[in-house]
Order: sequence, then structure tokens, then C-alpha cells
Amino acid sequence: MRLVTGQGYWSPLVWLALAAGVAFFGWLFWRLGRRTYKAGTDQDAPFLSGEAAPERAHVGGQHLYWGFLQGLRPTLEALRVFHSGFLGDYVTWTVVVVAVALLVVMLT
Amino acid sequence: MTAVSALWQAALVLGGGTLLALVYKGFDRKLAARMQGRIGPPIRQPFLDLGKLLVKETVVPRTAVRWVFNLMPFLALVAAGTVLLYLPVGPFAPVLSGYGDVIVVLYLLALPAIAMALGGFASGSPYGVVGAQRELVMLMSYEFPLAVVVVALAWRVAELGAGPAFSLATLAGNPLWAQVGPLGVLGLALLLVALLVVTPAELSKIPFDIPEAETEIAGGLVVEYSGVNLALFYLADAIKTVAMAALVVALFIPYGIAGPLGIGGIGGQILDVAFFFLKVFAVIFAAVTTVRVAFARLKVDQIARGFWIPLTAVALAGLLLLVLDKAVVG
Repeated sequence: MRLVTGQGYWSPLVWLALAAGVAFFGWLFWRLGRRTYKAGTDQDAPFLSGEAAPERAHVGGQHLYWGFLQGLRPTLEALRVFHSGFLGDYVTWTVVVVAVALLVVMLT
Repeated sequence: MTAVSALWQAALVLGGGTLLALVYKGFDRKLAARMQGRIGPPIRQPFLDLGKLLVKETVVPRTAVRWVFNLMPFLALVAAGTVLLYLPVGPFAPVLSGYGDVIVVLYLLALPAIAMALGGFASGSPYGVVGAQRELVMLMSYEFPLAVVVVALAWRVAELGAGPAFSLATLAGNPLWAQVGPLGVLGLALLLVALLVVTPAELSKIPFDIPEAETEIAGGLVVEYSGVNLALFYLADAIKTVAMAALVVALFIPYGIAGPLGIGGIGGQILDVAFFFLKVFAVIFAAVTTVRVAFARLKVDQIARGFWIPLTAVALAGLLLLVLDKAVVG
């Protein structure tokens, strides 16, 4: 099975076959390692720079985009201005963008 | 090419690529140390590191999602290993030429980063989760300029009508520097700059090592990894470094040396392969070793802004110049 687009191609089955081969050699390598440890002792406690672990040491998913939002704040604030919440505004934007896109396609 | 021949070639590329990756890592560390006025570790240090990790205990934290935590190093190694098979090696077409193009390469290059992020999330460690979140933010930031670079090159190659434009064999077989006018050369130079800036980010090296940031979050997404699991990530990182450099070579400097020197036959092919290894090392030295010695670590918001605005602008300017050049030169 091979997907051919005219400008490129991709065969997932070939990749899966080779991935299985690489995974097999990775597994052989993994088997060489020492896999034992003292479970249930301090050894398998999460590392917190020597601090006692709080009951719920959890970093929430809402922090995921912090760096992204902080870095692009001016740009995002500018975009936020366009979000008026009125349906008519969104329809207008859609019509304008589609019209411009069609114009560009027609001209090229 | 028969299946047996393809398997031999794949084994050769994977085995040779892995050895070469560790040797390059040794040179990278030695040269970085020399630039910092240190003696540095011996060239064989990456091999010693792997041996050391094999005798260390492989601890799985009690807060971890065990199967995800253990599976992700394998996924990273599989993605980094298989990407080598889609890249040309000197004068030779990729082993899997015809079965995957540069788009597949981009996805496979992103996969180790995603695997590391998932491993960080699955560790249940606050440091691991913060590192994983940073890895994803960085991934979202550098993928767009990287995609612009690849699309720009593929579009220009498609205009030449040289074959499937996203095929790495086509891209490497039709270097654009001599095919375009002055505007196009400037555009290609901008695209090369963009790709060289993306390279250390793709590899999470200084100044883009925020997901690990040892001095800040104690290793971040790999803080809980140890023993053979960490060894697998170590191997994946070394192989991915070579793969990324080989991609830069294939896209921008796919030239051989045997032709200009008038050397043909097997000797010429060996010379071209050796020259390819040299080019890969030169890219690693320029985009990884030198950069990580010369710069300090950036903050996550600086990286997001830097990739989305100035670097994307540079890549788009390169694309625009290629388009203008095509309009002028034809």
C-alpha cells in the first residue's frame, strides 16, 4: 500500500515494518540494561530538589500555553480586538476573506 | 531493489548512522569543551555514557503512568532511527526512496520530541510536566518556519519539473543555487538561515534547551528517566542530530566532490560518502556546537515570539524572493 500524491509518496506499512525492526533492536538493547530498583522506597519518589513531595504535586494543563501566550501577547491582543462576539461580524469577516481569496485565485 | 537488498541497506544505514551519531556527539562535546577553555571528555565518551547507563538502575517513579513512561523512549528511538532511511547518503538515494518523502521526514523528526513530552507528562513529576509543556510550546513555534522552508524549496523544484517535488531524491538531485537568479540566491540564503536556526531548536540544544534546562528544572522532561530508558533517549537524540544535519545537507548542500575532481567508480562514491559525512559534521558544528557555546538559554516566551514572528518573517521573505525570482528569471 503506497499513497502517491503526484509530488510525493508515503507507505505506512513499510514504515511500520521497519519501525518494528528498529523497536526489536531497541528492545534487545533495553534487555542489556539493569531494570531492577528498590520500589516503594524513596528511590521511586519523584525528584523535587530534596523537598518533601506535597500531597498533590500537580502542574495543571492550563499552564501549557503560558510561554506561547506570553511571547505572542501583543499579537494575540491585537487579534482579540476582532472578536466582538457578534455573529454578524464573523459572517462579514468570512465573506471578506473568501472574496479576497477568490480574487487572488482569479488573478493568478 | 529486492527486499533482501533493501534490508541490508537499511541495516547498514541504521548501524552506521548510530555509530556515526555517537562519534559526532563525542566530537561535539570535545570541541565545545575546547571552545570553553576546558580539556573535555574523550571522543569515545558517548559510548562510555551508554555503557554506564546500562549498569544503572532503571527507576520508574511511583507517580508515573508506567506503560507510557516505558514506551516513550522506544518511540523516540524508532522515529529517530527510521528517519535515517528516508534521507539520501551522499551520492546514494534514500533506502526508502519512493516510500516516503520530506513531509514524512518532518513528521518523524517531530515524533521524538512528542515522545519525550509524553514521557515527561507520564512521569508524574512537576519538573517533568513543566519540561514537557515547554517542549510542546517549542514544537508549535519552530514547525511553521521549518514547513515554510521545505514548501518553498519543493515549490521551486516543482517549477523545474524535475519529478516529485517533495521527494528527497528529487530535492537532493536538483540543487537550486545554480537554477535561480540573484533574487533566488538571496531567497535561498534566507531559507538556509531559517533552517539553521530551527536546527538547534529541533534538537533542544542551547539556546533552545528549555525543556531540559538542567540548572533550572533539573532536566525537565527527562528528570525521572534513568538507566536504560535514559540510554534510549540518549541514542535517539544522537541519531536525530545526524538526521537533522543530513536533512540540511540534502536540501541545501547536496553537492559531491568526486565529479569536480574527475574521480569515478567506487572510489568516487566512497569519496562522495566521506564528503557527505564531513558536510553533516560541518552542519552540526555550525548549528549546534558553536551556537551552544556562544549563547545562553532563552526563555520560553522569547522562543515562541522569536520563531513565530522574526524567523517566520525571514522564511516567508525567502519564499517571496524565490517567487519574485521565478517571475523575473522565468
